[in-house]
Amino acid sequence: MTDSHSEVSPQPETAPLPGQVPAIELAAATVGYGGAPVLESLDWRVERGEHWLVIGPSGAGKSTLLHLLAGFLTPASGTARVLGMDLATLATPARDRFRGGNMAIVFQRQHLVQALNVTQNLGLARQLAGLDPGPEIVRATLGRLGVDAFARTRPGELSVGEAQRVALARALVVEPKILLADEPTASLDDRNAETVAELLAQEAERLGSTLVITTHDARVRERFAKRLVLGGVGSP
Amino acid sequence: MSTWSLAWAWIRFRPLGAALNVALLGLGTATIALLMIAVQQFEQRLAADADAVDMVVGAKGSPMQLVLSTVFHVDAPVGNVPAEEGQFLEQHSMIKRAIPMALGDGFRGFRIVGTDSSYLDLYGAELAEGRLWDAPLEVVLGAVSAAQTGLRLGDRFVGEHGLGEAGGSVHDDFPYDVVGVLAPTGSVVDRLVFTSAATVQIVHGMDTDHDHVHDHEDHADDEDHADEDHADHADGAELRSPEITAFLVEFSTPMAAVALPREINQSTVMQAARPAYEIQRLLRLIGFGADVVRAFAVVLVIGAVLGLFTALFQAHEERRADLAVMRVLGATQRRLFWQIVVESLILTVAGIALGLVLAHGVAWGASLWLWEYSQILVSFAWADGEIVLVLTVLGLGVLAALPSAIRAAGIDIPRVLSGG
Repeated sequence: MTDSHSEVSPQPETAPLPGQVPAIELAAATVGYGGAPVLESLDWRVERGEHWLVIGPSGAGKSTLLHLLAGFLTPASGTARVLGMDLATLATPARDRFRGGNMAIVFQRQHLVQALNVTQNLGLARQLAGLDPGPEIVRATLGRLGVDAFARTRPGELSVGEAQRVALARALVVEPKILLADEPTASLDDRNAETVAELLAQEAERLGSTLVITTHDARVRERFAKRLVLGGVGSP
Repeated sequence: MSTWSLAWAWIRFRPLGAALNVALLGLGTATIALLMIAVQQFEQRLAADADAVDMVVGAKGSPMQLVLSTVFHVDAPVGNVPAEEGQFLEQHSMIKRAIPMALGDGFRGFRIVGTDSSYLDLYGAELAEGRLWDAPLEVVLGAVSAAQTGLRLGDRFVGEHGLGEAGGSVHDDFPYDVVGVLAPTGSVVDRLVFTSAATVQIVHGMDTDHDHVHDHEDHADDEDHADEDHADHADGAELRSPEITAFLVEFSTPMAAVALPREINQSTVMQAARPAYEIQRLLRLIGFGADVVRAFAVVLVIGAVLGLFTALFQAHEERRADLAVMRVLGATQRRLFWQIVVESLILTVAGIALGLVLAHGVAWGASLWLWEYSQILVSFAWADGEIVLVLTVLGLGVLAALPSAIRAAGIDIPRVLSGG
């Protein structure tokens, strides 16, 4: 069994709506990359709209957990349900479409498509999510994140902080039900880390998205009350 | 952002590499297409010249030389046959007409053909100005012969042995009078000089003896060179046994194609040759040269396709993160597969388009040049095999993309996004 536990600070709970399936529900989920499991018999339940921090030392399985939730991996045993859907039961193309239509992910490295400008990157995300181009939504999203000045700029011409805000905009422009962020502030300076963390929380709140952030960045921890600690009790 | 627009964006992101891929594909395609156009034009022109003639009958020897010398006028005649042999042909029931042709001389590279006006009918030639030859030593010029020699109506010139290019003995004593010029036909007629068979017989009767003894030496410096004088030449030739180089035969029945050549070859001092058959033999002979050029062009195309494969593979390696992110954003494996194939298709189509534009542009330029210098009509229209060429190169372009496309579809998202 994975050495994990949940911590909840004394903050107002997000009460689940009656009859609403949880955003994430892991039941004895064991997952790995073919060798020894990275996460073992993990139980975890996240209600819709909740914001969670997943913390733990390197190698504890934080990224593996996100890969499981995104459907890149399927559990070797146990179940992993996202929005009530057992992803292991979906064929790969259906899983791809489910992910595109319901989730968005922000990475430590921005992974923007270098050949496209900022607006086109956001347009590509909407197209792959099965949404209309929504130029107004694209413009509004860029404006809220303060990167509308870079609408026609290629990623290679942006600073790291600007690029991370664009990557966040790309995640938000599809209005995801679940927003996953994998060490989103690790490569940023204090000011940008603060900005990105604040924007993540604000925008997830505005969209009503469930937010799961993996991090070992102390600058982010205090902002989120719900925590899943992996790989060592109290010593992330 | 559709598959096509993203592929286009990726191509524009590496413009130099993409331009090189397109240029290489274009060069290979252009070489093959140009070869196809040239071969087709060559074959069509050979066929057009030969189609008018069912059979050539002349002195025994090489049948190909007989055809080349009497139909295409690109070789020395095999020899002559007695003119009375023509009676056998004229009286034969399977022969519609047998047009006599007497060769031997030329003027500045243009062959002088002694024949009657029915030869012009074979090629649908019409007079542009003047009239047809009538009396001995009157000539009518083909369109190119007139343009290249600068001769005009009323001009006078002397012929030389052979094609009269340089160094041949000159028939100073028998100047020809230009009485007509033909309109361009796009056939071999354009490059000939026509006179009567009797004229050639007169001139060669004198030349064969090498004594230049005849009744008309006094005409060499005669400014008037009257028709009566020409008649005197003809009279003189009648004293000799006339010869003919060949007869161009038109069948009266398709059966003649089978029976007549054998009959002529076995029962006369002449040989019969079929232009259509000899052309096929000729094309098989020169086909080897075309095959060498074609093989070279194929190597060019294969090299270009390998270049495309390398470029796509390298680009794919540089874009693994892009492709992984696309999967994260919801792209299916099929979408990534087609994304790579479409990029290759765009480059391949651009290469093919460039190649065809180059090939047809060069053919167009060549047609203008040839028309200006030789009045030869060359079409730069599509060659028969070009659609096969286009489809083949297109297929190779898709083939070049397959390894990269398969790798893209099977990309390991966690490994790539974690920097592995």
